Formats: sequence, structure tokens, C-alpha cells
Amino acid sequence: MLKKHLTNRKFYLFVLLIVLVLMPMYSASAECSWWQSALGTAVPFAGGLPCAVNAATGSTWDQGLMWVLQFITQALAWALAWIMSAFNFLVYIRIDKGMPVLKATWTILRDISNMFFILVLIWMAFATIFNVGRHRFPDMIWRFLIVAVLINFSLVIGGLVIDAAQILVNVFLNMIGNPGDRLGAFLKPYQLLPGIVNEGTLVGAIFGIVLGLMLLFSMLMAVVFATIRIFALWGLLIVAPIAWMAYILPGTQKWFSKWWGTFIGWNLFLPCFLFILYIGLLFLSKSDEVIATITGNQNTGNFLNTSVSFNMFFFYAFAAGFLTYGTVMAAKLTTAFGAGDGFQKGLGWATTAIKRMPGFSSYFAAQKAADARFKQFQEEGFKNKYLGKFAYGGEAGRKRQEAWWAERFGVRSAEFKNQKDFVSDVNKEAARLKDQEKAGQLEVTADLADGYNITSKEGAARKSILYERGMVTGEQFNKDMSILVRKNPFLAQDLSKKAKGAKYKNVNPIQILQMAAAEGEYARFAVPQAVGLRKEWFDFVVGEDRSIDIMTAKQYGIAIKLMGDKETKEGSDFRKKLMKKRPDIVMEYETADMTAEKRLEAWRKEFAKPDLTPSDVGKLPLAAWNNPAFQEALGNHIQKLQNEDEYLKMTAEERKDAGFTEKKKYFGAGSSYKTTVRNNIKGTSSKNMDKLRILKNVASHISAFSPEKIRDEARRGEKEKKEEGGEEGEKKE
Amino acid sequence: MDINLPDNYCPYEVMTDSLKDTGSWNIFGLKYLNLPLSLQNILMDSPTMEFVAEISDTYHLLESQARELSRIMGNVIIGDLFIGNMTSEIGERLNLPPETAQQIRNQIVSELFAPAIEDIKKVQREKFANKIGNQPQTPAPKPPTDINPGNVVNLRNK
Repeated sequence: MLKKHLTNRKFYLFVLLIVLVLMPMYSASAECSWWQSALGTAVPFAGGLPCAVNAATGSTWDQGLMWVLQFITQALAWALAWIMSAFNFLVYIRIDKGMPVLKATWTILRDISNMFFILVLIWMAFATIFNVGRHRFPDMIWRFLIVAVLINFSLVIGGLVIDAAQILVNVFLNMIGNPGDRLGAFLKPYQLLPGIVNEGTLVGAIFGIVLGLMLLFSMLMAVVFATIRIFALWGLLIVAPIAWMAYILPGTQKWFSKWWGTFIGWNLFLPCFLFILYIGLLFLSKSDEVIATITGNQNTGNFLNTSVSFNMFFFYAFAAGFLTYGTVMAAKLTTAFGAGDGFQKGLGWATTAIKRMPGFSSYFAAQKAADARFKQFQEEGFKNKYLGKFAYGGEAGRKRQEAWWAERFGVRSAEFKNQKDFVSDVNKEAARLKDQEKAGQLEVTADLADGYNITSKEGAARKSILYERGMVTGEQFNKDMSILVRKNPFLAQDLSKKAKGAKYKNVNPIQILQMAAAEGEYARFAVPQAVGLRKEWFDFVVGEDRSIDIMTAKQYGIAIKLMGDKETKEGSDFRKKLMKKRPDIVMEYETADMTAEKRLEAWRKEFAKPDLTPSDVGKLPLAAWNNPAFQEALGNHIQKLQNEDEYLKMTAEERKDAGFTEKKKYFGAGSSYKTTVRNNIKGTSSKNMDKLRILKNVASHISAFSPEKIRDEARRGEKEKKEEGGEEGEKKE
Repeated sequence: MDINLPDNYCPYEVMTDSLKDTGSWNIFGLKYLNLPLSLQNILMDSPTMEFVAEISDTYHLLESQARELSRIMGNVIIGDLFIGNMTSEIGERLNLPPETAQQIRNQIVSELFAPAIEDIKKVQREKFANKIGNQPQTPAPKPPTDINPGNVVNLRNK
């Protein structure tokens, strides 16, 4: 247990907080001279900063808070001072190409490169013999000779470029002086951070911390770039011989270009940055004039009676801006001067390095989170959770307002648009909740939406998740749909579709059938707004054995009317699906007004269609088989098939031609149909046994091969022969 | 021409003709639906009906005899009749001499049952395990005797 706490960062933070709060309790008027001595007084930037909590006023808790603020202001001032000093130091560093380590490493690489000249010569020889394009002697010799000479001066050439850039740097440094000191002089941080944090200076201290942090991060960025620049240039000088060597071979020339791009880029970075800094400092030096122009010489006063004035706020924000964007602009400017991918990559590493620094990663993460929250705030607005009203509606609020007015002005479809937008918002909210679930902040149980109104975004989103996962009971389903049919049919359809995806897991299909038919207690769904929903439910019912078994012809009639009759595509598709499952009810509905003969004829037509093959008949549910009309129609159909068999219409000759002999008899289409139906009754359930029994009863002893018919056929044949013979005799005579 | 109702040549139809009550239907239905598809097909497919019709023609069987033959075949397939008793049943029920009964039985087994003989054996083994055990076993073929054992050298023992 203790081990677990010891590895938990939150535990340490908690202990730190307790210590910070309790310390003043132990000695409310404690001096913080130990802190000042720890920081040292040598840091010029921190001069005049607070050193002690004013213990004269406030409760122990107030003092604790002030003590914490005091601690932060001290640390901030300290950090700023050091960063400024580091910046001063870094911009004045000259890239010494004569540094012994640098020169020694460069020498090693140059010697290695010189060895490669031999290999390149051999390569050129072979390329010339075998006529390898662009590698032959005449193509490469000029580059070879140039490199052979200049590779020995690569350090000097690099140094020349560095010196040239340094001239530019010196110009700006001469104009600026120590950049850190200048910034300190212009920004007057001792005004920003109050000397002592007490009730009077509390708000000012908070403002000061915020502005100070802005400046700190901006400076840090510049410092990191300036540091990386030094190491990058050293590294590039060392590998210069290899870069020159790469110039010889056509395939490696791009490395040479890349090296130059990167090298020039890092050289130009500092002059560019200093140029932008110079412009910024120029503005700061004229701060009084600038602010007078902006405010029209009016006294702007201080914020909330703090030491922070508009003037100060403006220039701190300005300084942070030009330091941050100055770095970025310098990078862009340098790239524009011809720096290549290497320089861009270096910048990427530098940015990553800053972002990964301990503490700063949190800052950037927080910045991202703040951006995201701001975006969310813009989209969703701010709702007072106690009053349930929007203090600021955001983008969603604007849409709501628009829709409300559009409805009032009678804009066509405005109401629908509003409802659809709401559905879209609900889905977004549901996605957010699911993320919370993934993060372990939310547990999805059946009571997820308890206490939430389904017409609210939060409530509907919670319901949406439950619907999607089949966690809604029949009772809840009925209740929700009843409300939404009136309030937002689009949402009702959306939720219903989600429930359908989960196969309405906890809802009895029979209830869905009754709701679809708007029968009995579900009669409330017999409204125009519920038509879409009911179609959806009927569509589900068709695929569900439990509900299809109890479906009646009347319910089919309701469904087909909802779908605009069987002539429409929707209706036709639905009928086709149902014909595969319950042809009996379809036909019962459609042949209700027909005579028995016409009804059987209608059935025959359906049996002849590919939608109701003998295999389909075998697979029909028992409910269909039990229907007397179906039984009659099936028996009739099989018998008719047998009677109308093509075989019977054949003459003896035709039968012989078709391969039927006395030994190879034919048992008729009715028998085949019956066999196929029976072959498709599979499984040993009692329902299937019933189906077999029914089939036996409805189509037993089919009599297409009755001796009478065969005899008649034969007699007819003989008679025809005789008549033909007589006619021929007469003709002969 | 002696062809009458096609159902008389269909073992399934003949067997189910006598099922009057639901109980007997369920007993038959269970047996039928438990059969492999190959045997279900033999019970009611056209080739079976053609086969029975051909036998009837060949042996000049009456309608009632053809019907009884269909029933015997069906009984064997669903395991109600032991295949070893088929000859005697054909002789008795169709009132035919033993030689003719034997010929018909041989024709049925070699022509109609042949494609599904393994399934028929399985059904028969399940239903008549005791009778199969009492049948005289065909002696297993003797392994070929070594002509000269000395000709074979077992390298593993070397």
C-alpha cells in the first residue's frame, strides 16, 4: 500500500501542498531570508523582489496562499534572471572554428575522405570502360579535381561563412547591447512582481505570474534555438569533408546541397532573430509614445487596483509575442534564404526538445487542452448547471437561436434542421462519453441515463449509448419513443436505428411488432411523425422469427399501407421479404375479396415466381404451413404441376427422343416439387415433423400418371394415326 | 402399361401412408430427419421411384407388390429392418420364390444402395449391433508367407 503511494506522483504533490500550507501555520510570520540567501543576491534581475510574507494581516489560510504565491514569484524571477543571462551569453558566443577538438575531428574526417579519392578514381575508370552514364571520366573529372583541392579548405570555407554571418550579428549586437538587460530595462519586471504579497498585492501578483510565465517561455524558446545553433554549426563543420566528397558522385550530390542549405540556415538564423529582436526592442524603448498613441493620452489606470497597468500588460504580451514569433519568423526567413531540409529538421528537433523539457511538456499539453476547451466553449457555450440556462450559447446556441427565429418566421424545414442538428450534437456528446468510458472516468451500466431527460443533449447521448449496446428494456423503449415521436422524430429514428443494430436485445420482438402496427396500448404511434419509425420497426420484424410467426394479415396490411402499397419500391421490397417468410399472410390479405378459384390462381402465380421456390416453401415457418389457405394452395399447386407436366403433352415419339423408355419412367413435376420441398425441411424439431405431416396430407397420391390419362393419350395417338392413314389412302386413290 | 400412382414407388410416401396419428408421425419424423441427406434422397428421389418401377417391370410385380417392396426398402434405410433379413422379407411379403427375392435384394443393394452404402451400414450398425455381432465373420486374409526369410536383411539389427 505504502509502496503504491510512494510511486504515485499525486501523493507527492499532496504532501508538498500540505507542507506549503502548514509551514506558515507553524510560523505565520516566518522570515524568508533563507530563501533569499539560497537564491543569492547576485542575480540582477531579481532585485527588489518579495522576500517575506506580510504576516500582519489575514487568516492562516490566506497567509498560506500568499506564501505559495510569494514562492512562485520568487522562483519565476529567478528563472527569468537566469534565462536572460543565458541569452546574453549565448548570442555573444562566436563559433570558433579553430577549436582544437573541432579541428582534430575535422582532420580525421578529411583524411578518411582523401582515401576515398582512390576508390572514386577506380570507379571512374570502370564507369568509363563500361560506359556508365554520368559516372564516366569526362563527366566527373572536373568535380573530382575541384573537390580534391577544396576539401582541404572546407574548414576555412565554413569559417568564412560563419565570419560573414558574425559580421551581421555584430551589427545588431552593437545596436542592441545585452538583449536580456535591455528587455529587463524596458519591461521593468520589479513593477510586475510585487515586493511583498499581501491582500493588497494579491491580484497583482497573480497577473504578474501570468505575464512573467509568458515572457519566460518566449525567452526559453529563443535560448534553446540559440544553443542548438552552436552545436549544429560545430557538427556541420566537422562533417564538411564528407559533404564536399559527396559532391563528386552524381548520386550523392544532393547531400552536398543539403549540407550547404543546413549550414547557411543555421548561420543566418541568429542575424535574422536579432534583427526581429532589435525591431521589438525599438518598440519597447518608445513604449510611452506607442501607448499614448493607442490610448489617446488618456490615463488607463491599473487593473483591479493592482500594480499591473494596461501599459505593462500590453508590452509584456508584445515582448512575449515578438520573442516567440520572432524565433519562428527567423526560421522562416532563413529557410527563404535557401536553407534546406536539414535546417527545417533541426528546427523540428529544437521545438521537440523544448516541448519535452521537464515541466514544459505540461505547459504545452495544457496549452493544447486550453485550445480544445476554448473550441468546445465556442461550439457549446457555457451553461449554468444550477439554473440550467446558457450564460453564453456558443456556436450551438447561435444555431438554436437561428432555428427558433426561422421557425417563428415560418422558414420551410427550419424545425427539421433544428432537430437534425440536435441529433448531430447528441452523437458528438455520446462520442465524448465513450471516450470518458475508455479513460475509465465513466462506467456504462443500465442506469447510465437515470435522472436525465431524454430531450436534453446529455440525457439523449447517454440513452444513445444504451440503445447502441442493447441495454434498453421494452418499457423504456416504449416510453422514450412515445416522448420523442412528438419532440424529435429524427432523434427517435436515430436511437431506434442504434437499437436495431443491437437487434433490440432487451426488447421483445412481439412488442416491436405491436408498436409498428400501432395496436392496442401502442396506438399512440399511429401519428404521421412516427411513420418513419414504424417502417423501421416493420423492417426489423420481418427478420425476426419470434415476431414473424405471430404476424397477421391485418398487420401486413398496415405495413404495406405505411410503405405506400406494394407498387412502391419500399413496399415491393418489404412484400418480397415477407413472401419468403410468411406468404400465407401476404396472400390472405391480397386475396381476401377473391373467389376460391381466383385465390388458388393467385397462389399459383406466386408459386411460379422465383421469390417462392420449392426450397423457400420447405423453409417457411410452421405458422405459414398451419394456414389452411396455404395448405390448400400448396396441394393444388403440386397437383396442377403434375397434371400440366410437359411429359404428358409429349407424343410417344417425343418421349422416345427425350430418352424416356419403358424402363426409364418419369414421375412428374409434382413429385419433384414435393421432393424438393421435403428436402428443405431440415432439423429434427417437432415443427419440422408437423411440416412433413402437413405436406403429406396436402399432396398425397398425386395422380398425374393415372391409367385413364395414359390410356386416353394412347387412344388419341392411335386415332390420329388411323386418320392420317385414311387420308393418305384417299389421296392415293 | 402398369404404372399407377407414383407414390407407390416412393418408399417415403408408402411408409407415411400408414401414419395416422401424431405420435406415430413424430416417431417416423424423428427417424427420417435424423438420416443423412444421402439416405433421405434414396427414400424419395425420382431415381428411387424409377428403380422400383423398373424392378416391377422386370419381375412383373403387381401394384401391391411394388408398394410392399418400397416399404421394405424404406424400412431398411431408416433402420427398422435388418438388411440381413431383406431377402426373407421380400420373399414373404411379396410372395416370391427365394431365388427371385435374392435377385431383387442383390439388385437393390448393388444398384440403389451402393452410393450410400456406408451411411446404410452406419444406421444398421446402430440399430442392430447385436445381430451384426452374431453374424459369421469373414476370415481375415492370411498375410503372405515369406518365401525365403533369409533374403531379407534387417538393417536395424545390424
